[in-house]
Amino acid sequence: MAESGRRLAALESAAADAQRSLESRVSSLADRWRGEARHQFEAEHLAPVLDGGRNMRAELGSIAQIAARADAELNSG
Amino acid sequence: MSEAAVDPEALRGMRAALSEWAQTATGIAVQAGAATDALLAETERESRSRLARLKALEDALRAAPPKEQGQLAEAVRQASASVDRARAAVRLASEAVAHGRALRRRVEQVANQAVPSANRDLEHKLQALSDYAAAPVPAPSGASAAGGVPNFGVSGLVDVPVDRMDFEDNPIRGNFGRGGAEVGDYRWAVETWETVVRPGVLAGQSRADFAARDAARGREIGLRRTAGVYDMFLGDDPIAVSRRSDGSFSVNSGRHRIAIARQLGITHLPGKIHG
Repeated sequence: MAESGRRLAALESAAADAQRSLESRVSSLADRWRGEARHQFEAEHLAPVLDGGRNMRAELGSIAQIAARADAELNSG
Repeated sequence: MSEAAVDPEALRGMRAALSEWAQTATGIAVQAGAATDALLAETERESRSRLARLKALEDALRAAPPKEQGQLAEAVRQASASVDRARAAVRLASEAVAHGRALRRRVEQVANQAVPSANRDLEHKLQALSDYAAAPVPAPSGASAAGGVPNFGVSGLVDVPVDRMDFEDNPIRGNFGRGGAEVGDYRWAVETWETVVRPGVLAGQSRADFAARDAARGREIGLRRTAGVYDMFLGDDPIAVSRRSDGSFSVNSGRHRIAIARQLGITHLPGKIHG
């Protein structure tokens, strides 16, 4: 029971790591790709992916909280 | 072209970063689904176990002599409360499962649609750079490889320095778009002219070559066709300028193309010079 909650919390942390890694790799390319084409690529393609990553992390946090409440229900009383 | 610098390795780096993120994110979403499924299974098992204990206590209470009934009744009350809590945990776990499934759908949408779409765009850019590298590079002065004026194969069209084309007396007003085209379309067209079509034309490619290239790429390129870029610069509506006595050129046609070329750091565009 508590194991599921721990797993979900670990997955939230992994999602945060993946997001940081993507953002870091993207910004490290700034000197080697700049200009309007990059801005357009970021707006059209990169932004939805980064938003998706942020949402994934937030949703995993929400799911981990629900799991913790389920655990608390079983262990109270 | 300093404003529009691009290193192919940067494009490959972007592609690798996006692909790795997609793989990691998909794995996380799958594991989250498994964790919520396991949570639900555990809470349901616990709920069944508590319910069985409650029924056993209720049976015992019914069969118990009066002097034991008080203690058993209290045990039944506690077991019943325990079942209620287990059922609440099952409801929460079901909620977590629903969230987990929705999360997986959303992540898969990004990983299977947005990321491949981004990577296709990067592939096109890499292909354009490859084409550019394969084509003869025009001399810095704008002269052709033969040493003369660039030959675009269209009578009357010559390379005109962008920094000497002036349309301050007739500025672009309102929205940038014209005839349904948006600024992004102009950017793509002007950049494609500079990196793909112009080098190809100077290397001897014709409009038919660009049309064949577009056809080979099929639907994936949509309306962004190199043959259309060829027409935009070398077709019926070329950039047209008039020579002034001070050596600059007033712009009669092509202000949008020239404005974008300036943003991209492009130094010359083909045009017709009057006067």
